[in-house]
Amino acid sequence: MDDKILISVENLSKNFAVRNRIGRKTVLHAVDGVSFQIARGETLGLVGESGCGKTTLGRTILRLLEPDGGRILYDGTDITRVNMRPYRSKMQIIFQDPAGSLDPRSQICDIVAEGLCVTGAGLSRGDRASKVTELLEKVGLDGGIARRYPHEFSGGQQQRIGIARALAVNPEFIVCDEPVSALDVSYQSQIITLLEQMQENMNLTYMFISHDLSVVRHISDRIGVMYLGRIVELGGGVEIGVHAAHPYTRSLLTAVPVPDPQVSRAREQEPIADIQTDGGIPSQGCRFHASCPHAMPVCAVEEPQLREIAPNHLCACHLHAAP
Amino acid sequence: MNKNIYCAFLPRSPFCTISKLTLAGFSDKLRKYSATVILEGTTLFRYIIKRILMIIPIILGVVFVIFLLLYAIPSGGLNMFPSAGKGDALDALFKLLHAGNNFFTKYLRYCYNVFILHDFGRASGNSLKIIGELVMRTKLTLLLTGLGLAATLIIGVPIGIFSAVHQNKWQDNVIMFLVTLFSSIPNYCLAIILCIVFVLKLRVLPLIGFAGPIYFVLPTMTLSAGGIASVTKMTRASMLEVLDQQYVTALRSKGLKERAVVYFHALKNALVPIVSVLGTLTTQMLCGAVVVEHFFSIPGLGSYLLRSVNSRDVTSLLGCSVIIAFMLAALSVITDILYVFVDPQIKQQYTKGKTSALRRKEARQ
Amino acid sequence: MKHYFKKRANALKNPEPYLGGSPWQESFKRLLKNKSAIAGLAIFVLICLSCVFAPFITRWDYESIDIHNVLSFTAPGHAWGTDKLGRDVLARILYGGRITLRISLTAAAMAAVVGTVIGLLAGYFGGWVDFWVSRFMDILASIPAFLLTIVVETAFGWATGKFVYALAIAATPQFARLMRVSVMNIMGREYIEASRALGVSHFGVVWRHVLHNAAAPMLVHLTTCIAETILNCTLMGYLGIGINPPTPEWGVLVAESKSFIRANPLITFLRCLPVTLSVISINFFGNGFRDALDPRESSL
Repeated sequence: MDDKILISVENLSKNFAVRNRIGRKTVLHAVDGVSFQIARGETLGLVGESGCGKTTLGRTILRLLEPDGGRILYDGTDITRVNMRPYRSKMQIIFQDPAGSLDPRSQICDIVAEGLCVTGAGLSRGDRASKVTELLEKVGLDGGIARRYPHEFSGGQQQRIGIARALAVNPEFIVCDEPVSALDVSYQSQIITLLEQMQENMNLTYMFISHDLSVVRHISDRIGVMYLGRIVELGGGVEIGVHAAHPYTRSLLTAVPVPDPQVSRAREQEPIADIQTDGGIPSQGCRFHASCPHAMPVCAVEEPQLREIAPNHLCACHLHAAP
Repeated sequence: MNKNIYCAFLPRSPFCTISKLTLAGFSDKLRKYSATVILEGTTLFRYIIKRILMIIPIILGVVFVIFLLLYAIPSGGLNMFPSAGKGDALDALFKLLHAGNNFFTKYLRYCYNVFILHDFGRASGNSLKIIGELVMRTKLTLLLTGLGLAATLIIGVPIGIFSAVHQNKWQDNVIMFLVTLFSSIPNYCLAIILCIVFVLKLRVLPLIGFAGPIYFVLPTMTLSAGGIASVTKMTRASMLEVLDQQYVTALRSKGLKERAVVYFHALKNALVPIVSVLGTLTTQMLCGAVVVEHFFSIPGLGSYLLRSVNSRDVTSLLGCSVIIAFMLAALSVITDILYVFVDPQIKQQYTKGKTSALRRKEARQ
Repeated sequence: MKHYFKKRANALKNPEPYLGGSPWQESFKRLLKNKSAIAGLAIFVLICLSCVFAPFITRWDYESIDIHNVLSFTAPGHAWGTDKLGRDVLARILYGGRITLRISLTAAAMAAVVGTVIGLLAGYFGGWVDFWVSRFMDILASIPAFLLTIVVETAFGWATGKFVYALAIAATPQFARLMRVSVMNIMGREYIEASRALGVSHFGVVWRHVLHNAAAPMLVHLTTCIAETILNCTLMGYLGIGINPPTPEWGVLVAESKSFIRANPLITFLRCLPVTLSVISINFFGNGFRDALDPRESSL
């Protein structure tokens, strides 16, 4: 095993049993056979429309949801079935909804110190307080706010508190679950910059989940594109941003505004997918074939596998099948 | 789909006969209606049937709980109930299983007797079967409850709307004060006060007797006071919520008359939650009926229940409980079905593909 | 229409003021501003205190008979008159309040504790525990509280000590269901996931987050439950189930007074007062309390 690899996910799946009001049961494959690796110090971006399973994937990796199949390896150790207690402090999460992720009835110092109570059992009360102040200052907040309550702060400040809470236990890996989607644009860049700074200072590894391709391109070293529970394309920032191979990725890219009129004019030539996900996952064939502008007969029958089409660029599409 | 398929599964018993008749009578209309609403065949029809069949486990559960409690009586409250019948199918089954005379066989025997043979047993002290008296008294209680419910809705809803339209003015404050007052006065105190005012002081209403509709005025007033208070509160709250929605603002900005906004568009949506409180309301009514029947000496189910408690007659107590439980379960089913027809959001669930919406919901969690 | 815009303008002019402090402190400050809630609380506390200090308020014993003054409203020394056996009405009401309030408050407290624990377990762990517990609670809740009390009463035998359990059992399912729903609601929040991601134990999560956040609706329900239990308790006394006539329970007093409703309606009316007054005061307090804890709903 490569020692630079921190997180390795093999064939991971997560299903939900869904029951509608009439009482009929259906199985929903939120994450369906996903494999990838994240190197130490790297940022893996994950994009896809809402409901494609990216959030579920992030939580399954942290074992906040129990996986139904596949393996998760942390630093070479299989953590799929073990007691997570010793690993909790190494893997953290930052949430989408800054207000909802902070307990409204706790003081800021209690929220930030919660992790310290678990890991740093030896810390005295005073040490803990000074550690909290230090953490709050680190994320760009005033240390004097420790006795106040979450609802007194703006979304951006709340997100900083969430980051401080995650950093309190000195993690190595952080799942950022749409950390900026709920924020105003002015706060978005601040939070992204903060995350980048923290990565540099603390040698963090990120998995950055977002539905916004432009944000992901800005922060990520590599990008994975998810569609209906599967990764359809995985590659470096340039590969995905410029040489996107999968029709779904290309249709996502058309949604990102570009300042260059030539590029945007060229884009208008591209047929745009009419994405419909209401029908659920098709029982066979490529998941995207119903909406794909380039669908071929084979797409309706056989599901394409993720394969390397260029160095550092994987894609699951019949258009790029090996000759 | 043949409507008789469902009927065929139901065993012969008075309860099942009711459901059977209902099914036979309404299934055609129901199916026609569901066919117009639903694209996917008869999903709604099936849901309704399922919901009706749900009554059975609920009542069995209620009987089980009450049986369990009576089993705990130190003196052995279940001595009244035998496990052996007159050599019918259940007896044969018990014999086959070598089941003795224990709690479960007694429970099964009681359920078999009640639901299949419609025999509620005999009252202690006399040898009469209690079923006849139960049916007679249930009719009277149903009449009383129905009157109370009707009065509640007819009076409560308009007052609630009035109160909502005049939010935070003096009219609203007075109404809300009265609502809290009437929802707090115990039934029996209200009965006494009404009796003092209308019978002793004003001398306009009779207290006890059965000579005409006028004799039902005081009982109905007593019974519906608490209900009117809760319906008023509910209507006001849901009306205010609806009036605050943006689509109502849009209607206003279109220049629609305030009257049309309130009494047509808003009311239509505000009434949906009221359907959901019908269940609790009727429970309230049935409990109130016990007091009212006791106070006004009406020979209904409630006074029978009290008599059976006072004479420690376990058979009658259990019989009353079964009937009350059946009425409440049936009512909750009716409420649920009404809800489906009234609430367009639920109706839509039966018509549209739901996978993607649910998927999104799951992913967000 | 005009009214609507005026309302909107007022809402904009006077936004919900920020009062500072923790959510609990804010709620408390809002509660203090609510006059009817404070009045309700004051009246109920006054009723409780006068029952506790009954010997200092009336010199009569609730059982002693004044043979010279039977069923009189103007008897000297008897502030509220005497009943048909010549017993002092006020004394009976005050000493009766001790019984009624003690039974109701104990039953409500027991129901709150048991129901909260059951609901917490069902809501937190889910799975089959939740399935069976909530089915059982649904069935219990589908039996009207009144009927359940009667059945439990019959099952346990009729004694005041056991009467408390009957009332408590009847009130428990509501608590359990409410707690289960609020716990499940809280469990879906992201701060619970954050705690789990930090490796906090089950006990820590429950103590720190679940109980703190579920407390508000439970406290509101407790006030409603106390009112309902008082109603239920006095109703049983009135119907003569569980508590029998010589005991000066409030419901029993009302039932006794029915026999001289023609002779002296005022006494009958006075005996309805303590129950009604205490339930109304609790309800007023409960309404204000709910509004104070959840300002969003009160703005309706």
